[in-house]
Amino acid sequence: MEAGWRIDSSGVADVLERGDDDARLLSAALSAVSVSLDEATGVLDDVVGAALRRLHEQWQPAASSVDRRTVAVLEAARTVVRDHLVTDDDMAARFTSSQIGADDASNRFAPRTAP
Amino acid sequence: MRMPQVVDLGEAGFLALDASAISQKAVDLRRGTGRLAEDGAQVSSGWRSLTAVYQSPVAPGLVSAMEPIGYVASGMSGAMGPAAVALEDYAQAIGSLQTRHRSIDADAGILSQEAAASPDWQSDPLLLARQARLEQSVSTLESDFDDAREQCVAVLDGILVPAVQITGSFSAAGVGAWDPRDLRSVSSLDALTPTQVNAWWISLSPVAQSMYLMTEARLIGGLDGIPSAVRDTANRSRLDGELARLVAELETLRLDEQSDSQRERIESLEKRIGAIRSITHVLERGGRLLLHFDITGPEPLAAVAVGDPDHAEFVGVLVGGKGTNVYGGLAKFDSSAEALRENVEVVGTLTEGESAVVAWLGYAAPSSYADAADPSFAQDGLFALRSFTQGLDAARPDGSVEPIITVGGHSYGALPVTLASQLPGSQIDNVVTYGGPGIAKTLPDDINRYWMANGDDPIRGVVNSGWYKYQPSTGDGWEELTTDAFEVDGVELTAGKHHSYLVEGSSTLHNLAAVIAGRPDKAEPFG
Repeated sequence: MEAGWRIDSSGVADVLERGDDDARLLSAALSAVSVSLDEATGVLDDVVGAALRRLHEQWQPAASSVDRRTVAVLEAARTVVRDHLVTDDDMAARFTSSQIGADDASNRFAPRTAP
Repeated sequence: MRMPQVVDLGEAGFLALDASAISQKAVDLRRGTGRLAEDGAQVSSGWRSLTAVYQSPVAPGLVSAMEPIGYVASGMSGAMGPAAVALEDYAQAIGSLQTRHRSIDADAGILSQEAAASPDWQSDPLLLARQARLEQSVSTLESDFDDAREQCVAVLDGILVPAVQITGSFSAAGVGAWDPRDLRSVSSLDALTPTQVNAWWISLSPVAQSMYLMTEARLIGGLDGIPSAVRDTANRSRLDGELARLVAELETLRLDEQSDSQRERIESLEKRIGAIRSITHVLERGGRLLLHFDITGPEPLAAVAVGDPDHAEFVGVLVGGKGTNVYGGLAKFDSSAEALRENVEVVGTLTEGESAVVAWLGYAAPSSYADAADPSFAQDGLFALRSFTQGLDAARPDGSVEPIITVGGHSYGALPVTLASQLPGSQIDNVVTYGGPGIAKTLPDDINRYWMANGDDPIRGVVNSGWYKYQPSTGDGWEELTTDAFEVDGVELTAGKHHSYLVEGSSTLHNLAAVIAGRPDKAEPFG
């Protein structure tokens, strides 16, 4: 059975905004660890400092991958939802007035619920 | 009075270090990584609320795409824990060394004063003994410093920081780049033929393709008709995450006393973990494409190609028999595929890239002799095999020649191979069974068919028993190939033995390679 199509645009906007906030916090946490590693390297001798630098070099791409994936998923959702809304408006124009606001999940391009 | 220097404390490297500063940085690191785990978990858990306000076929995928953030952030945080501990231990060691150094320095000062007061101190056995003890202490300080450094370095170098997979790019996404009408649910895609799947896939924008790769990697990796390189990317992207998830569950289960159902679950988890490790091991050999990876059913399933079937003109698909499974048998199966592909190139005088051989474990083969008497395993696998070979044909880039597809069935594998060949539109050109106990009787006329049977193969004991009532025969268009030793271009090939047919340097390997290479004339007929 096809999955239903339904969008609460203001709800989505809230989730995206919170997602952005959470992503920023995560990014800051990743950066904080990076700064800690850098500062710790600065107070160490050459041998241990070099080992910590190697760990830091491993850390950076890992942190970047988390950052990039978080942003990519948020951006993907933003794009999908935006295009969904564009298509949705287009398709909604074809519904009769009695159908506007209907919440029929079986209809692939059912009009989105009112905010 | 000038004091003699009775003990040389040297340039101790640890004196230049600030133990409290190192300790403080270790604390900062621990604090930072703790926050990281919490923030990562918040990203994943907060994102789950998306499905409450947005429902479409892609919505669950969007949510699952964020799930790795939580556990990878937690893994990164966990990885840094030992680093913080190692730095704290190191700071403590440095502090202790510095305290000991001060004590030795003080004792050395006293000794110097006493030596200055005694001009012939160098003949005083008591003073000399104290001098020796202090020098020994200095030497121990140095070696303890080396040990502390080594321990800290060993911990730091042993840390592996997990990363999250990034597939695709969303930077080019814009209005119109992603058309929701392209979206299809998992069930609707499952209902498409491989040709329809391929048509759907190539109709998607790169953004939409990236979207599916990221959010529905399991679906894309298992869909016949999707290009092999894409399936490989999708399937590989799941290996680390699935392994981490299964290992975590296994470790949790092992902590407690186990019920029967938990023991069963542990066994199942071990099987899946073994399968993933086996796949990873095989992929590390290089030149492989992971065309299938499914650990959702009772048996883990996989398909690994040696070479690229989308661009090869000659493609072999090997189907194993009883006991062929991903966790215990993939490595050997893959080695056979590699040896076979090398022979295909030699026999067909092909260049690299013109052939590919797939080790297909896309059906749950029977695990025991009792199960091997049951045809239902083959019946379960035949549609999957037909879909797979159709996918090989459908996934080829526009303008490329149609592949010559040869399917080889070993032992029980002869049954799913011949059953799948019976189905319309299988795209199979050649069938070779070797060591098979029986076959499906009627194959379409346009499929070339060959069989091999070693004289000492124990499988002969079950031929014509039970449901194995149909055997290949020349009357049905089958050609028997020899398993005896023979010579090719001055090279003596060994005779096939027992139940093994893909042994390097054997006549049976050569014969199968000749059929796959489209040169059956180079195979040696029986008799």
